[in-house]
Amino acid sequence: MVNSLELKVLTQEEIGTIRDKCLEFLSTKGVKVEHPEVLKTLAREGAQVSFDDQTVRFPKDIIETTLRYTPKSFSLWGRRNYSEYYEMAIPHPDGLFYTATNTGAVTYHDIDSNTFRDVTVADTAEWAQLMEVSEGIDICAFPTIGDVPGEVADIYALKTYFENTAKHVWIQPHSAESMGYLIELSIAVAGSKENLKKRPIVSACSNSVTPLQFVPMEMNTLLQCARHGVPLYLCGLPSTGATSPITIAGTVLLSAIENLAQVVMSQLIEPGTPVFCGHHRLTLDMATGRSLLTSVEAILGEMASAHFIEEAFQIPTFAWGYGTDSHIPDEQSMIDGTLIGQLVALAGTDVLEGAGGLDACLTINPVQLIIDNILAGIFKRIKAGVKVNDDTLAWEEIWDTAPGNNFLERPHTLKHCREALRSDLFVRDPRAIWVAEGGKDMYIRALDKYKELKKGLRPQQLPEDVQKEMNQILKQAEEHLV
Amino acid sequence: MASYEELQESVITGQKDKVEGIANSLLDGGIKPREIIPKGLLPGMSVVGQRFKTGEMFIPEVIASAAAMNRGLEILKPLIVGNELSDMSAGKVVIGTVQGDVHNIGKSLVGMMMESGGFTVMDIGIDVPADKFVEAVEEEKPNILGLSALLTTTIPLMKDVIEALKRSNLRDKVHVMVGGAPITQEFADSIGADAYAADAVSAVDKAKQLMS
Ligand code: B12
Repeated sequence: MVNSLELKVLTQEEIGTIRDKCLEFLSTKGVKVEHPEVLKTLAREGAQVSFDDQTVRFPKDIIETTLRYTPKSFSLWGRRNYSEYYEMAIPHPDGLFYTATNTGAVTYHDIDSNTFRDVTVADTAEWAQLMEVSEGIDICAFPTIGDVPGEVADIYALKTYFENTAKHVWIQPHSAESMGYLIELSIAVAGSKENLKKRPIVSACSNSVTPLQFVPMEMNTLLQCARHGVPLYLCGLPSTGATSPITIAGTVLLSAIENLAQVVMSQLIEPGTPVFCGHHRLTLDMATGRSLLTSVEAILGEMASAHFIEEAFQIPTFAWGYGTDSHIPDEQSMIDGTLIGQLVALAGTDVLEGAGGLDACLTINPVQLIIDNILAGIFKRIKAGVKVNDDTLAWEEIWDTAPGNNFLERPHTLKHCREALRSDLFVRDPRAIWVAEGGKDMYIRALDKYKELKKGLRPQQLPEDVQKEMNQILKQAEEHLV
Repeated sequence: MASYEELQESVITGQKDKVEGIANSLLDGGIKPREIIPKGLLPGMSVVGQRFKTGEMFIPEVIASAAAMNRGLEILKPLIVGNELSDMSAGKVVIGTVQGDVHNIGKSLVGMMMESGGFTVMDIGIDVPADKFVEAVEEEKPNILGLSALLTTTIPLMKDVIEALKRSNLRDKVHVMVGGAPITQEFADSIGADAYAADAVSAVDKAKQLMS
C-alpha cells in the first residue's frame, strides 16, 4: 500500500489498555443477545451462553482466534451499467477511502421552496441519479421514503436505487420483516445468490443498541447478510452522556467492546464474513438534549476509535465523514463537513459516510451533496500526502534554471500542470471577473452546478426480466407486509 | 433553624443530603410538611426549570436537582394526609416508546424533564405494544400519555394506540402527547393527538398547558 497521511490519535500503550479491557469485559461480563437462533449458534461455537438472561460471554482465546481469521481485506462491487462490474478493494489500494451518502434521512430540504418535507420516491430516484454522476460518491445509501407505506419504504428505496444507479448500494433495513425482500431484490439484480456472494453489489448495517444490547431485528440483519456474503457495517450509535460514558475515552472503550462482540458473532455465525467496524459517535448536547454529530468531541471520538480499531483489530472501518448539525447548507455545514471528513479520513477510516446529509443525518439536500462530492476530492488529495521521488523533487529542473528565471516553460511543468485539484466550486478568478460573472457565493455556485447536472440525469436501463422480477418482489412485499 | 432559602438553594445545587438535613431540621422546628414543600422544594425546582430553559443549567444538573427534591418529598410526603398531596403534583404522566421501536433516550429524557417539572412520571420503556399502553392508562389513570417513535415503520403505531384508547373508552380520560425526531405538528394533528413537542423543554411546557 502507498504511504498516505495518517494521524496517530492514541499511544501504543493506550491502545493496549483499551484492547485488554475489551477482552476482559467480553470474557467476564458479556453482552445481551436477544436472538434464540444466534444464541444457539454462539453456544455451539464455544461462547458461554446463559439462555435465561440472554447473556453471552466470549472466552479470550475464542476472541483472539476469531480476530485472526476475520477478513482484513475484501471487496465491494459496483457496476458501470447493468452488467459491467468494477471492484472497490477494501482497504483502498492507494491508502485512501471510499465515500458513502447519508443513510436513513426522513426529510428532504426542498431548495426551490426552502421548506422541509418528507422524502418522496421521485426525490429518491433523482438522488440516485445524482450520485451516479458524482464521481466522489462510491457507495449509495438510501433515505427513508415518506410517500409509500412505512412497512415497505426500504424495499421501495432499494428498488428505486437499482433503477437509477449502478453504483454499490448500502442497505439500512427498516425492519426484520423487510430484510428478506431486500436480499431478494439484490439477488435479482446480481443474477444469482452465487453472484451476489462473489461480487456483492450491496452491503448492509447492523447496529448494537448501546449499551451492550443486541436486539432481534439487528441480529436478523447480521444473520441474513452473513449467510449471503453481504458485507456488514457493524456499528452502534452511542450518545455520550446518555447511552455511553460522557468522556470520549469511555465511549471509545464501550463502542470497541460492542464492535468486538459484533465481529466475533459475525465470524462464529459464518467464518470469513466481510465486516467493517463502525465507529459513529453522537454527543448529547447537555443544554438542549439534542444528539450532535459534528461536535468537536464526536469528531475526536471517531478519530480515536478509527485509530484504535486499525491498530488493535486491523479490521476495515467506517464512520460519519460528512454531515453536519446545521439544518441547511450554510457556513456551519461547510465547517462541520470539512472538519469531520478531513480528520476522520486522516485517522484511517476506510468508508466515510454521510454525504449530502444535514441535521445530524435526519435531512438530505442535493446542493449539500454537490458540495460534499467536492470535499471528497479534497480529503483524498490531502490524504494522499506528498510524494517524494526523483521526478517530484525536480532536481534537474532546479539545477537547470538560472537565478531569476521561471518554470513556466519547462517540460516538467507542462507534464504535471493538470495534476492540481481544481474544483469549479471554488473561486479562482480575480474580483473584477468574479463580480462581472454575478458575484456568486459558494452555495449559489453549487446550486448552479446542481441545476446544470440535473439536465443530464437519467435512469438506468435494466434488462426487462430483472425489472419484472423486482416489480414482482415489491408486489409480494406489499401483499405480505402492508 | 434552617431557612426556606437554604432548602431552595440545596435543591438548585442538587445536594440530596443537604435537602434531607434541612427538611428534617425544619420539621424539628415545628414547621408543617405541607408548608415546606410549596415554600422550599417547589420554588427551588421552579428556578431550576427556568435556568434549564435559558441554557444556564444542563440536563444532568436538572436531574440531580430533581433527585434532591425527591429526597425531600420522600421525607415529607408520608407526613401529609389526604388530597393535599395530589394538589402538589403537576400531574401524572405515563410515557413509553411504541412497539417495534427501541429508541430510548428521547423518551427517557422527556420523562426525566417532566419529573423535574413537577410531574409524577411512569416510564414504561421501549417496544411497548398498544394494549400495554391501554393497560397502563387503565391502571395508573395518568393525566397525560406520552408516546415516542422515531421510525417510519413504528410512527403509524401511535395512531393505533389512540384507536385502542378509544375502543376502551379511555380516550377522553387522558391527554395524548407525541414526539420523536421525525414527528411534526401536522402528523400529531392528523392522528388526533392533543399535543406535540420537539424537545424536552417544550414538552414540559406543553404538558403544563394541557393541565391548565
Ligand atoms: C441513537 C439512534 C439509534 C440507536 C438507539 C439507541 C437507544 N438506546 O436509544 C440505535 C443504534 C439502536 C438505532 C437503531 C435504529 N435506528 Co436509529 N437513530 C438514532 C439517532 C442517531 C439518534 C436518536 C437519539 O437518541 N436522539 C437523541 C434524543 C434525545 O432525541 P430524540 O429521540 O429525537 O428525542 C427528542 C425529541 O424528538 C422529543 N421526543 C422524543 N420522544 C418524545 C415523546 C414525547 C411524548 C414528546 C412530547 C417528545 C418526544 O424530545 C426528545 C428530547 O429532546 C437517530 C437520528 C437522529 N438524529 O435523531 C437515528 C434514527 C432515528 N434511526 C433510524 C433508523 C432507521 C434506525 C434503524 C432501523 C437502523 C437499522 N437498520 O439498524 C434501527 C431501528 C431499531 C429499532 N427497532 O428501533 C432513522 C429513522 C428513519 C425513519 N424515520 O425510519 C434515524 C432518523 C437515522 C437515520 N438517518 O437513518 N438508532
